[in-house]
Amino acid sequence: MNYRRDSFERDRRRARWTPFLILALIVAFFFFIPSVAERTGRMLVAGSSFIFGSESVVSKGVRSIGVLLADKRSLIEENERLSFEVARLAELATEEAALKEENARLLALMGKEKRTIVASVLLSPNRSPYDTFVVGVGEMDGLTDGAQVFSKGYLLGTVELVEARTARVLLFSAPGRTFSARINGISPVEITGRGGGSFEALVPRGTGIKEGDEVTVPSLERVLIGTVEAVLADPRDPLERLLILSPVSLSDLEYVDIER
Amino acid sequence: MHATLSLRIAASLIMLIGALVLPWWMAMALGAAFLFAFRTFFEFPFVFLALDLLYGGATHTAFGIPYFLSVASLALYALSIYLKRRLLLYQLSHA
Repeated sequence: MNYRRDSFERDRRRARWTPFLILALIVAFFFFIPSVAERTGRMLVAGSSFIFGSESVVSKGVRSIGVLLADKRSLIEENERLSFEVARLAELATEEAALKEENARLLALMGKEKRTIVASVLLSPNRSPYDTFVVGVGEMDGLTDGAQVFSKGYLLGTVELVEARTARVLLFSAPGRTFSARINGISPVEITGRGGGSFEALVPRGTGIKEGDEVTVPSLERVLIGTVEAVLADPRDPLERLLILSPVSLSDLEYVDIER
Repeated sequence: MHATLSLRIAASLIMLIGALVLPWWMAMALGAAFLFAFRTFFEFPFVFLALDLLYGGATHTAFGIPYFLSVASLALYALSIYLKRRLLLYQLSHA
């Protein structure tokens, strides 16, 4: 009669758990030595432009696969739609240019000049649970740590890590990130990020803040963060909770403006 | 090339590309599927550790946990080892 050896089962168990233990040790290594984690993070952020940059092999490949898969009819429809969109945007651009010129002239009169740079989004924010994303401009384009990032006129976040041709941006809505803002003339209101472009704030009852009120950053210019989506009040609670949402769709973010 | 090895390389590539182009929770679900498709899919926690370092998991937290993606992937990896030993269906299909 054959009997199963005890050591056989022990070896199998060891083989199953060994990769797990090695991986746990690697994670612990990065956790306890933050300088190595930061250096590796910088390398990965710098390397992302080689993979996701507009001229990279991967980006070109994805674009050409998309063209191959699309049928002729849908391409004609898309072409018509884009032609219409171009005409509409050209009209808007003329109007916007005039407004920007006026704004720049007024800011120059007040001794404040704002210069921005357009950056492509290499890795969009919805892919990260930390509300961070990678853009395709860096130190060589004049970017610095802490520069403000905008989209459609809304303030999104700040640059937190700059490499030669890439940078990592941290959104204001990052979970736990707090900052001061102004709502309906009330300032400062401490706002906390909840992730995914949403925020919350606690204010005393009776402030008159209502749904649809704009949330701005207390500064000389009118810099928008988002709008109040809901006011949650309980008669037993002296405070009411504001739920704030940025109107910028983070999953569709392709380009952002970054202050230089 | 051996069919299993080709499959494994394809799965690793899909995992890597998926982690970079899909939202993190979708990539996690994809990786969890691969954990059950292969006996040991150790690429899974490695990919999420790289994502953590790329997105700043060392300095920021998600759900109050630093290195959230690495911790979650390691937890899923451990759970898969446990479940694979317990699930009769898995035992039969991988006998």
